Amino acid sequence: MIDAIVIGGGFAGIYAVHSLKARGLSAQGFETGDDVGGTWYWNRYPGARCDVESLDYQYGFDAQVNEGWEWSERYATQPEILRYARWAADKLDVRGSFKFNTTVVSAEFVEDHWRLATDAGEVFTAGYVIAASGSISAASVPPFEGAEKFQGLSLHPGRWPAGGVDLSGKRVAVIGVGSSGVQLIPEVAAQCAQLTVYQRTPAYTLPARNRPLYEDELIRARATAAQLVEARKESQAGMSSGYTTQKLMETAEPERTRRLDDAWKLGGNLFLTTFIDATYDEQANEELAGYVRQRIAQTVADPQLAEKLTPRDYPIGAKRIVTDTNFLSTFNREHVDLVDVRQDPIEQITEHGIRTRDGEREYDVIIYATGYDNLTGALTRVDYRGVDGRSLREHWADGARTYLGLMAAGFPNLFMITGPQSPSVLVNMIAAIEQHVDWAVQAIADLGAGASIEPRGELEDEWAAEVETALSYTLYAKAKSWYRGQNIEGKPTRTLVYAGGLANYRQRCAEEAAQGYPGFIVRVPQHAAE
Amino acid sequence: MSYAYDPQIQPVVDYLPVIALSDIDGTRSMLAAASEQFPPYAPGEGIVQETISAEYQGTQVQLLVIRPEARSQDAAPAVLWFHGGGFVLGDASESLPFLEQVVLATGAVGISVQYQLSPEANYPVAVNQGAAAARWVAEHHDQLGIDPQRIALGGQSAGGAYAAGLALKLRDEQGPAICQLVLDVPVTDDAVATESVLAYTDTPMWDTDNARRSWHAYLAGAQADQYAAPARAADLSGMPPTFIAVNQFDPLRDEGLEFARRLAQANVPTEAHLYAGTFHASAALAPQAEVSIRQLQDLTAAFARAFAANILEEAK
Repeated sequence: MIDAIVIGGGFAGIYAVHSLKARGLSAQGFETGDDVGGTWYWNRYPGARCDVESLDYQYGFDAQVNEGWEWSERYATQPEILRYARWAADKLDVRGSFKFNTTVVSAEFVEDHWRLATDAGEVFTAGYVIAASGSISAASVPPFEGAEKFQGLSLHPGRWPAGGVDLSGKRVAVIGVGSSGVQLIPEVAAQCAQLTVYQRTPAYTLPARNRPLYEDELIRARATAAQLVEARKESQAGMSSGYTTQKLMETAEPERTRRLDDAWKLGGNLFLTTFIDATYDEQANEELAGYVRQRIAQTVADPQLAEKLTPRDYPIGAKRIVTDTNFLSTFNREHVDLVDVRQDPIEQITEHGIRTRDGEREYDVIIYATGYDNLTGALTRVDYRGVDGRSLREHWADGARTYLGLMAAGFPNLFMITGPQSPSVLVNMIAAIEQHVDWAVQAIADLGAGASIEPRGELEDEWAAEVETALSYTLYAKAKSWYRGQNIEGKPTRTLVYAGGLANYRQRCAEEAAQGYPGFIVRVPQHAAE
Repeated sequence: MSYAYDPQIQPVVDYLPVIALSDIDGTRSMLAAASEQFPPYAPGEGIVQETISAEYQGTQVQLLVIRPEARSQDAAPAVLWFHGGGFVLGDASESLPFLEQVVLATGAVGISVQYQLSPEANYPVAVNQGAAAARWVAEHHDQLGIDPQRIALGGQSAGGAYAAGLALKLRDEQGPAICQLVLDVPVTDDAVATESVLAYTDTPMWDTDNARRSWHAYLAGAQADQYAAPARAADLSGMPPTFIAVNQFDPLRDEGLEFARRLAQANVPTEAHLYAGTFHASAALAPQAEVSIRQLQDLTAAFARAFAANILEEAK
């Protein structure tokens, strides 16, 4: 029997297999794609980039791991991040531990181990399972009526064809202005003959100001690699950069605008952290939002179009902030227009295009930039069966239930990496991944073969309450968003992210382990206890 | 484009190393290879050298010290010097040949500060090391055999930014007192906006791109204050008497002259020399040229005058 099975070959899966092997444990990985890379394997749409700076969006579990790798840009593109994932997998020598082109379809806990079945009909058994299947990986398209009748090409950014798509001369519709939509719209507009964007909720987008990395930044990163590892561990966002304690409401003009101008020029989503109170004080947040609205008005030439693109009814940052390159100015181009579906809703997809209340438009290509079933989707798409055959889907029927976002009651030895109710997407994903993998692999090594661990059921309620409390100190609840499952029709509204910061969370998890897992039911086999 | 170099400077122009901060690693290894072709500095007749690892309130800094072999009865003046290299290149030992001239001419103790380079370390590391060096030297004046009233600061190019920033810092933080500031072709302004720095995109040894990249490497995204970029100082009054040398076809020419103008306006005894037909740091690279000899002599003489004037002051 294998010590642990790892589901997913992204950054979490690569690191999990490496960590297990480094402790002398046997590991078997499974990956649906034909190579490692996860998110960056699947999201090949034009313009795909990370919104965390390259020098943070990389492994940091030790100071040497990135030796030999050099990033070329401040915000790396998808192809470069995928190259990095492949490079890391080779350097850590984990590729041979993965079965590619293989999807785990079901997993059942039997007595003291997991039995997994793949789509190829093979069965594997292992003492432990690490679900490294991603937070934003289960692509989702709303059930638009008639979508299957469309005779043109239908695309989802998360399942973009590997060879790319030639959009030249095409009439294209993009539905959605979340991160993928905002990133791909300028790229699509540059190729196609005509582009219509269907927007429900306008996004606050910030200029990424992507640029090549200067050599001095790379030299510094090498020289300070060890400090960066430490800084990241102690940070609340999993990043090496510090944060300000300056409050907007306590900063008078002209200093206030000067700081905002500087941050705007610098670019990137750190703009949100220009002043600390913008994350929790509605008035401060409104000031920050007002600044961004003013920038939209300055960038988009047509005032009516600018107004449509201007978010007004939710705080900035409460929905995932988007960083863009030329998103707003793309709407100044002749062949690009916008349909506000709050005023003119999509009624159905037709054979030739999209029909809204005001009429039908014809397209050759429809891009559904409609997002993902985030945080829980990748987990519930596998049929996990815990103690007494109870399914995870059932357990989560009223919303995700976990303790520490790490494990669910009744599902022993199943560790979720950056799962629901953990800091995950609110922080640097790679830092969050490393913290989770370290915790899980430590537990597996502590308990050994034949043992089992699962959280005490009552703690799931306590953790859910804590997750809600942490959120209540922020403005996240003031918008409808996927942070709370609200992007998917019928998905229960429940906070899926722990907003209390990675450092606090890390300490919380470490205490559990240090105290011998008091929040968990641990069973150790007889012979080992003797 | 072509520049009206001094006829004695012109011949070296085609044989200069290419300093390109777009490739810091490459430039560093090129300079290291080039310097290996020459014997390392050895103190001349009558000069002794020692290396001191100084520590002041937790800040460590290495000092390369040269002094006359024969110690006089009287305490000697001291020169604390910062080498150039755009914040990212160079080494304290490079300045020792120049400092030796100053030591021979003035009897001073010459101290070259081995500050940490960027981008491995950023502002304010090197300025803090400079402050630690100045304070350590003042405190250990007996050990060094120096007169704490006659400590001068100086630096070349980016070393000028360190020296002038440090002079401001010591002015603001009550000492130790500095009797003279000597800036050779100094960097002073992170704005990279003067006419010369924008125009000279292809000048030898330093150009617009290097200027931008050097600040980028030094500041690492932080905002410069007056101790990083002395041109940012709102008030230059109370600075030590200052001598500034600038080269003509040097991107740094205008920020050096502007700094001199502002010092003069702030009632600081100021002298500035612009050397015709020269390029950035040409005095060191074409040392036989008459204009180079003048520049080096003027820099040395500025120290000599300051040390002499200070003796007269004390005698009063």
